[in-house]
Amino acid sequence: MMMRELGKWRKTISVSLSRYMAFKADFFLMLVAPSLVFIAINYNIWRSIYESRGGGSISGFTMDQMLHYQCWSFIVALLVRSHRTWNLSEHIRLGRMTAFLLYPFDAWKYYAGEFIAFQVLQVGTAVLAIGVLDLFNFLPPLDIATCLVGIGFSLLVSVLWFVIDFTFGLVAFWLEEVWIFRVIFGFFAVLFSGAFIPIELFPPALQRFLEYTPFPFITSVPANIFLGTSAVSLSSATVTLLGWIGGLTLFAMWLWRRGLRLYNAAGI
Amino acid sequence: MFSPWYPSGTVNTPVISCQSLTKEYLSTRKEPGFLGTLRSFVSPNRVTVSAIQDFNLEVGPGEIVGLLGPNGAGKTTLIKMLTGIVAPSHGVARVLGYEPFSRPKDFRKRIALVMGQKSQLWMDIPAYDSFQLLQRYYEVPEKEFTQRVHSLGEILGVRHLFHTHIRRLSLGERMKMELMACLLHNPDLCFLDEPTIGLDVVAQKHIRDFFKEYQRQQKTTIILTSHYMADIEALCPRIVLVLGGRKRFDGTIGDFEGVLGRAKFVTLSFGEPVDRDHPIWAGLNPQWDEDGTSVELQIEEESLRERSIAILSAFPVVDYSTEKLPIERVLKTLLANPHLLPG
Repeated sequence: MMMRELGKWRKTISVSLSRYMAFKADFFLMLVAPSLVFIAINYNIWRSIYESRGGGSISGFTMDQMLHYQCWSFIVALLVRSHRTWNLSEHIRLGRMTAFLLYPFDAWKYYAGEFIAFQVLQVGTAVLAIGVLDLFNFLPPLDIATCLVGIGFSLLVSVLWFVIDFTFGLVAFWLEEVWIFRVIFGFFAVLFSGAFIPIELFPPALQRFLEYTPFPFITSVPANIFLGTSAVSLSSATVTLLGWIGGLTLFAMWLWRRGLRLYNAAGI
Repeated sequence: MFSPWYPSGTVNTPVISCQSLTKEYLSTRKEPGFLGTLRSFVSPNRVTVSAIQDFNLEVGPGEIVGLLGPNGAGKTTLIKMLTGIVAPSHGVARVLGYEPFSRPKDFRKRIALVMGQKSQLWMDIPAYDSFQLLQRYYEVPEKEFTQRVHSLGEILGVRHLFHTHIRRLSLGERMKMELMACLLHNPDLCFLDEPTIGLDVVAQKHIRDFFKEYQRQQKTTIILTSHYMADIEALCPRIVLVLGGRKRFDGTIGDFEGVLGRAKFVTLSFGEPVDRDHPIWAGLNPQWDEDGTSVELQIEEESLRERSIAILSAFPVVDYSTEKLPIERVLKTLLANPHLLPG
């Protein structure tokens, strides 16, 4: 029984890999280009800010520390924020979900399989990116163990990202267009996760508020784990993260059950 | 309304059984123009639309039932409810002993739905990859899978296309792959929703013949909707007519053909234009061509000989043919005049 289920997952992942690889240029652009553009802009902005101030530090960040933080936040973005379950809302809206409701392999498992396949490729890309950044001395001296912990933690955060993204996709049961919510959330995620400005530079009240949201996990916490400067212990961060994943998964399941009653399988 | 019909001996074990099945949608009515859009935005006019109302149906094992009806009649909504894709608003449905909307895995493993207007295959990968994925999902043993894929591929003549990306196939080839994908797990119950739509006549016949043979061998229960009467005539001994979300006829194809009476369809051609107002045509529903040299008539079987002789004696007939009233014409007449339906 277990082996059969594993076989379904394995095949879903391998078919998803084939599909991602079918459009090579598109795949590269989707996988790397957005993060690459983001880091290029970010890196140069911070460099200019520090150079215009004649060096020194900003809220305890020296220029080197800031640039290292930006480089690691780029790696975190590759591992955490790259996957998009765009097709879920489209599948609901256009009725493609129908096929997934008929297969004896639950729809969420199919989307999760697609996500895992994407992450397999993304880990390879991230490792390659770390190698290139290290080769050109953009990173502080690498500690392999810290690096592995950082990758592992980022992958766990990517599960949170998947659940959030999946939840947004489910809104398509109620509203035809959901992309605007995703864009807004993406904007907040970049801003409040510390992807552009480290959270440590935010006003203390906002920092305290963000501690009660999942935003810091999206960039700040994993980037600091890579840097070895995390203010919270790995175990406590992991427990909190698992709590967020569990809570949001329950919410997504509730939405799924409610939404399915409204599904009208358009187009057939 | 006719009472449910099914072959004798299957009454106690229906594959499909539904009572008072109803599906209502909430829809928004918008007036045309910019003002209408504004009004609809501020205060949407929501109305409840009934797609299916109080539908009762029983289908026995191994039956092939044709669902007939115009666009928007509710046929597809009925199929969506019976496959568990959409939730019914009221009523009870049991399919293969399961409540469809609860969609237990064992239920999903025993049904199949072919959607002529919606692909279930993955466009970016070759068909064989999709088949292998479905093999895992439906837990088809390797040996059985290989045997079925090759035998179905052979019958449908698409074996040479197994490794071509689906998006590169023609509509007919894709449809055959869809059929294969749906039959790989040897379902007990198969829903075919417009399986021949958009195909040329040769491909339509090929698929029709395939299903006829497939059903003969596997004894699969099939529910078919199609706007091509040739599909219905070739495959379905039983017809269910759906109009305005309600069942308006349920019986054999023979009974359906007889709804308008046992009339024969007679076509006559004349050597010259004839008098269209002659009393001889009374009650025969004549359909004339433009120049009055050809007419189609409906003549009751019992008076066919007598009326034909009278026409042949009175007019210069150069050609004469007769056939029973085609099902297509029966349907067309009933759709235009639903009051002619019994019940």
